[in-house]
Amino acid sequence: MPEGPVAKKPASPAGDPFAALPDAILQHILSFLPAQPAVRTCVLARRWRRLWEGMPGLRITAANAPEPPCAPDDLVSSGELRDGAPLDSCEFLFDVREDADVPHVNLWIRHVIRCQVRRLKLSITREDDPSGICFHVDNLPLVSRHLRRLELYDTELNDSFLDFSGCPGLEELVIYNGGFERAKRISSKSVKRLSVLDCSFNERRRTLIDVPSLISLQLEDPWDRTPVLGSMPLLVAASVRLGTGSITSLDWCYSSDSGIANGTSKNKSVLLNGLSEAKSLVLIAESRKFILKRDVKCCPIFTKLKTLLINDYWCVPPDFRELACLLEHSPVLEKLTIQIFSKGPEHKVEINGSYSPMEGSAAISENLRIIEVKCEVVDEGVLKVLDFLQTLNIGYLTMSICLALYISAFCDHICK
Amino acid sequence: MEVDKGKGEAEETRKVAEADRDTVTLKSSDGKLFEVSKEAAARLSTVLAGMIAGGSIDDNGTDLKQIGSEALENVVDYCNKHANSIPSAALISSSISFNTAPFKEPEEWERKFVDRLSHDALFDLVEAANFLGMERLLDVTCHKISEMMKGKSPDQIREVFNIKNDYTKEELEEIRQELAWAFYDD
Repeated sequence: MPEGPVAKKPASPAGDPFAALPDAILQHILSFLPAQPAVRTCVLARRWRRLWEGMPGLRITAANAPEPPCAPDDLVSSGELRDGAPLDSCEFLFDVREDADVPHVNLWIRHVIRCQVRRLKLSITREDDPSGICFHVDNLPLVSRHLRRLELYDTELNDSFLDFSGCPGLEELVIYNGGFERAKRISSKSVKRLSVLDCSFNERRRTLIDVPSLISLQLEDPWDRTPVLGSMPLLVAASVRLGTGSITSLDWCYSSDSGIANGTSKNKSVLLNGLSEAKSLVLIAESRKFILKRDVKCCPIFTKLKTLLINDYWCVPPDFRELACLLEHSPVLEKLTIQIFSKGPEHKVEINGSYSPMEGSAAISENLRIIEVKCEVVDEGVLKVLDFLQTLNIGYLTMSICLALYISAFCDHICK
Repeated sequence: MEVDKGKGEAEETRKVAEADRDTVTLKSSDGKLFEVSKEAAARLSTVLAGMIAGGSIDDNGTDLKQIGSEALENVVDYCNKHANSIPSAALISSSISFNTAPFKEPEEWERKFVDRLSHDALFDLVEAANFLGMERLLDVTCHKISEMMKGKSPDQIREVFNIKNDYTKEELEEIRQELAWAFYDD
């Protein structure tokens, strides 16, 4: 005689679906919760009593509480929180209202570091602050053998914090909307992947990015002085985008470069020297940015560069000096993509050409096989670029493709 | 894709045919058969990837005795949907990607996928994903369960999941005092 509704799973007649799952899975579930509700699960039943202590991830957010998650004091003083159990990841995602709480939160960060956290994300805002100050990290270096990935959002940084020599295992560093006004350098011997996005730098001196083990770099829209890249012999891929979308910048052509304060001479390369070992490069800049154009005057040789993506910044008639210089200094280049007056990723027109080595000039890479020109319309500007490529005897378009291109461009003009 | 030497020619031909197939057949605990793209299975499940590489995939249905047919159907469904959604995923990670990237929020289709599951089906799927070493599916399903716990009091969580409270009143009071900071706004 079946009693009540037929149980779907006779294995767990009590109906507690967690019963069938191992502790590690329960802890995995808890690590998606903000810290406070995760800890609160300890009262559910005996089995849950100590689960939170061993959960791999800690998300400290204000999502479920109107106030900051809990006075940071309490978490630190609530004993040796997570005694001994190493943390896989920890995220700080909340707003700090009171200045007085800043040191507490910093203590908290130190505490999490002591818990051997491997991946740490700080996204701490100061929304109520009338002057719009970011969260200031304290002026001390981080020391951890365990930290592998660090993400910093909206954080005001300083030299001591950005000296990662105390974190020999740190491999990935992401800094978004960071404040480098007081920071002269980022330094790490171990970081392999670095993203510096939408960060503001000092108005007078250039911050040095000294990360010699870097494999991939993403530098987008630095405000004020573009940072200087140190030597990166292991670099594989780098993407540099300057000025597209940033509101202010001192590195525009109309401002004379007075960044000599820290001894940067006018002829010293800011970006290109550091990028010279890359196999793959994206170099996009807004036309008023002068840094790359100045850099290219003392252009390094890109001895390993295979693929290069550039925009119209590099294509300045009548002599296309910068583009020519880049190509002449890229002896093993295989693929060149030029985005003209088009930010992508959608391009209305794509012209693919293949390079025929027979016609090549000695100065250009013999391996250059593919050239793509992406543009919204084939206008005069594009035609000038194509003309230039021809006069330079790159001959990247075989005659027939070239002809087709001119015809389509011509039709385009007629249609208008 | 190794082919055993020294066996009968017919056998060899069959093996070759099997190796060339781009799907694998999986058999649930209750004997139902499901086909899944070999590529997706190998990419999403470390266990299936190991079995495919090690040649222990059975053409007549690889036995997965720990997984019921409903859960296996969901696993296969997830693999197929995942295979179809690759272009969008590739687009998102067009910039430099990080190897040990942290958990990414579920995509729209993943949300829909777990939202339509019953409690039982969801938990069975967690078990299956765990068993098959499907990291992303495990993340997405565990994330869903965490969402179901979010914003609820301990009492409400017990009710939703049928968790039996085996504490005494005194014990509970003791814990609440010990971890007062976590119960601040209760």
